[in-house]
Amino acid sequence: MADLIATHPLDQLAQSIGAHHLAAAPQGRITALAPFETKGLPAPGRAVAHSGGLTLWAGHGLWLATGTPPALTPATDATDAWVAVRLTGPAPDAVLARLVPVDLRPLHFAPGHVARTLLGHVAVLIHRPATAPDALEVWLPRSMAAHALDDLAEAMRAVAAR
Amino acid sequence: MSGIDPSRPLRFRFDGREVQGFAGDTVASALLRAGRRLVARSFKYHRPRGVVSTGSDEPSALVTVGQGAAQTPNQRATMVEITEGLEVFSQNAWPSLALDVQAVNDLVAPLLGAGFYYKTFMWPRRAWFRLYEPVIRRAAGLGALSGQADRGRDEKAFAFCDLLVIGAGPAGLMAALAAARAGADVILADEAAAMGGRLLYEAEEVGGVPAADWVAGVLAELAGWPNVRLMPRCTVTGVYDHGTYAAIERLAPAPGRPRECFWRIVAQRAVLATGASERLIAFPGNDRPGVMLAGAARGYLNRYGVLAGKRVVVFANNDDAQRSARDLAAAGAAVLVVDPRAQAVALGDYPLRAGAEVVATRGRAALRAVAVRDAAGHVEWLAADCLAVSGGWNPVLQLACHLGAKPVWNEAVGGFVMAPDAVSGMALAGAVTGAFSTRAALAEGIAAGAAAARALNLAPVAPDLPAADAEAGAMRLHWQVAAKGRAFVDLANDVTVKDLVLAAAEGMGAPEHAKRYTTQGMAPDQGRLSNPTALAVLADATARALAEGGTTTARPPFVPVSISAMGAGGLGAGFAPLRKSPAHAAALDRGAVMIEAGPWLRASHFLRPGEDGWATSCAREVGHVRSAVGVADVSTLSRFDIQGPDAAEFLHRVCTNTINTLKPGHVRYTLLLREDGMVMEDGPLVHLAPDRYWLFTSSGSEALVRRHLELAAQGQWPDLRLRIFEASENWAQFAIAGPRARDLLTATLDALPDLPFMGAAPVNWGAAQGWLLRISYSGELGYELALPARFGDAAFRALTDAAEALGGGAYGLEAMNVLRIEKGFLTHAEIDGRVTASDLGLGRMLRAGGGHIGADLAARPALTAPGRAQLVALRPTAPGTIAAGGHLFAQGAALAPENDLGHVTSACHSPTLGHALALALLRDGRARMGETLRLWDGLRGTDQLVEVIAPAQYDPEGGRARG
Repeated sequence: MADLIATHPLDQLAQSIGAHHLAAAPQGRITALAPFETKGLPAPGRAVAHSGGLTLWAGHGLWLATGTPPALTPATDATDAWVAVRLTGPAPDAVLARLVPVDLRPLHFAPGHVARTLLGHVAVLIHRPATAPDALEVWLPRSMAAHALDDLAEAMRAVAAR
Repeated sequence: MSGIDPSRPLRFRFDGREVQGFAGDTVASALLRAGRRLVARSFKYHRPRGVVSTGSDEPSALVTVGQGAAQTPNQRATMVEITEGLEVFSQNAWPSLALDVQAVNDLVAPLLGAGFYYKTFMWPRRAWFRLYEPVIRRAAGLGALSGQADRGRDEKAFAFCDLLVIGAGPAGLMAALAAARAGADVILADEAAAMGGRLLYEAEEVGGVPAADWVAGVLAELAGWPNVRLMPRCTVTGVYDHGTYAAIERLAPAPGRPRECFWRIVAQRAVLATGASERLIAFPGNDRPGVMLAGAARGYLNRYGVLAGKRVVVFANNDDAQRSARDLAAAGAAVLVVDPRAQAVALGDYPLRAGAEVVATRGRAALRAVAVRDAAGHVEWLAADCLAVSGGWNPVLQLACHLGAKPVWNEAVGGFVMAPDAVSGMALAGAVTGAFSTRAALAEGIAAGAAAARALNLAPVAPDLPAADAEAGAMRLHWQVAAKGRAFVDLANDVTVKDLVLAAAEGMGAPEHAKRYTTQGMAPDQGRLSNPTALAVLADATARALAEGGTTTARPPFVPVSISAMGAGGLGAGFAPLRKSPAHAAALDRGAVMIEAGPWLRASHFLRPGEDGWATSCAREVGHVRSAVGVADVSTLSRFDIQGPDAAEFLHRVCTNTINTLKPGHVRYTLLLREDGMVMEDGPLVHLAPDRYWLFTSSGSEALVRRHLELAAQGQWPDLRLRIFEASENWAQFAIAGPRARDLLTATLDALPDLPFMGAAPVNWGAAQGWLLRISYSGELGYELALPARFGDAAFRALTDAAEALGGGAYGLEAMNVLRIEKGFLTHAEIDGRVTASDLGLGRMLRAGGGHIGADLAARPALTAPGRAQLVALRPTAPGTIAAGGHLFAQGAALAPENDLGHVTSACHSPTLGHALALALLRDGRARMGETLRLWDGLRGTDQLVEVIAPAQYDPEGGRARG
């Protein structure tokens, strides 16, 4: 009885196109939290650090916690539901502007900000990490990660062509 | 010659003949420099036409760029920048531009007046679509599409800013500069390749230096501000609610670069600085190649170094046009100014005829002579190769109208203008307000930029007003010339003064009526050059003041926008996202043939060497499940993780059967009804642990079911404490079905729990922790194994290997469908939104006492009375196949809707039973067991007899699944 090998849903995630670079974002364990008591959890559109990692607002009454989650219930494992990618370069917001209908300018979408929005057709979570303020992270639903990655690469090519 | 680079010659082809231009040229400027004046044929009469303007308001010089799949018709030659090797073609002419046989339309023009088509092609009615319209469309038209798939790439993008400045002429530049210095985040968009607006086309000074140099200085400062984005070649095309603007950007051509970008720009404030567009005067023969706007004639000289003619007549009602006389004369042309104003005087060293008008022109392919009539009525023909016309300037305020504001006539301006606060969040500055002098435009731009900064709570740092020409040039309105002959108002659609007068005479004198009756203003330029003139002609014809009649309505887009740009990214997989299961790659490795099932790609069947198609593979896979063991990927099912102390009570209220007795570690098949009592979804409900459930519904149904559940949880019973997680993405799930399912799991899992039918337990497989459910959608001994998605790939490979070792293998959707039809199990082919639980034979699943969503309306008499369609199975009375979709009739009954007894929902060939088998919804079906009915399929042309049988044909007692 063989042990099972874990597989990442994206074969070729890391890529550089023009001046922009796409790579896997640090991810680890992810827990979806929808607690009845929400005191101490980040406000809509924000992410805050907790003792074991980061808690990101993720929609109406929903948060995603990385690392060891705060002891809140109801909660469910979401480690495999998301594929987090990190976009770096001179203007990651210009790349995402090809796909995302929300304002990601650094002054308006500051470190620690989170947006639940669309990337093309795909419902995603976008995050500007406080630890990497020049980068933008996109959390993609696993089943559509490959599709979204194609869209991201196309947007990177469009920016590079300018 | 600021606009071109003489050191960089470029060659392109026009109708196959090489033309040389320079970097910075447009197709129009290069053709004019090369002496090509005939560049197009008109829309309706196929009259020879030349270049009229320098910008996006060009009504005549429409060309096709590229050929084959890259062919783009109806491009304005004034906007297309030349590149080396560019292929440009004239359009709407056959066999050639110089000899266009359809110019015969021009000879019968007296017959083709306004409303001609409405009056003439009335009878017979059927001939309109078959005969008249195709012929008319071919004769009157523009460029053509290639008919090939367009492989060019465009893009779409969003932008956000504090201030959007539309137009980079003197007003726009100053507005942008004032706001930028104040710290605002500014986008400056201009439709030309080079910013500067009219200043690039005029020989004048600003701030003590040539205007073009001053522009370059301002642009250099703007480019240095990190808070400014310059967007040349970008036309704002629409204004929408909440400060949203659409814009189309034509990217400077370069390898790998998209052709166009369709922008959606969200701005807190906007400054509209779109300037003004010169207008023609309506006089006979005002459309010949060589007749152009006065501002364009000097613009081509000042910007591109092109002298539009050696013998130039300037026909204008204003002093501004004498700039053209001055500039062209200085460049060596022989110039005569014809001015209808009796008091007009020459402002430079050229002759001027005051009180005179141009009343006719000559020259077929290009202008040769102009007839000038003096105040006394004497007409003299003068040789001329260029006629530069100016009837004044129209503020370009279309964008200010998109939210519904109406322009008003302003006699002092001599044009339609917009009230200052007519558009929320948008200020108008410069010539668009009627401030026609350079100095006034600069001042208005500074004021608008500073006001925008204040509105954004920024302290304005207004630039100083540079020294500039304060003279706008006196003007007296002169719309049309009274003379015999066709005087064109709308060159783009070949509409004349006579057409408009006729429209008024026939009761179509209101602007919106006349527009539709004559097609004036309905060409791709939307009448930008012609609307005010048309309104003035109509006002004369109906004896009302111009201010009374109002205008037609300007709507987006301001310029034509390619559909390919608006739909950019929508080709192929870009049309809709494809969802892939965690085991997608593993399934492909096993020969899976994928099909789209909603948003998911799912394995239809697994092709093995030697198999000739899906039917063979499917039959083999059904055999695996019935006789050994099969493995199917069911990760695509929608999964909800429902938790909380009231989760059981909540599920009891949304599910039809008794849920609050379901113990942890057990599964119950359940139904969800809509409020109206119809079945919405069916699926297994798993009680994982106290206060925690998994509800499974069909693939791709997450949004529908989530909405239904959240409405109930948040809206109907907010007091219940529970939460609903969408958990599909986190899990891989596999069905393991067949008599040897237990052997397979014993060989793979760390330990196989002893599960009863409809039991559930946590399991381990090495590092993977998951759940094992004993449920069956095939009728065999069956399990479903849920594992974290990251193990899906490896698990599918290992499970398939193990199944093959046991004489089985992977099975796909086709086999799954056969297996469930043999058992009479349901999909959304049966649950089509019009069926009740009772119709499906699941009436026993509606618990006594109701109290669940849909219970009351499911008890309506109409949903319980006899005569409803009920689920049955069918088999043919003679060997043959059945396809889904056919309708059932009693033998001998006429094939009429009132005799329709029902229809086939699903059908297959059952390899297990050895005959065709179908499920159907049949009126009073359960009472018809054993009857022979006629199955008629009008679409496929089949007509056969079928026997009504019970839905569960295979193992009706269900012993195999429970064993």
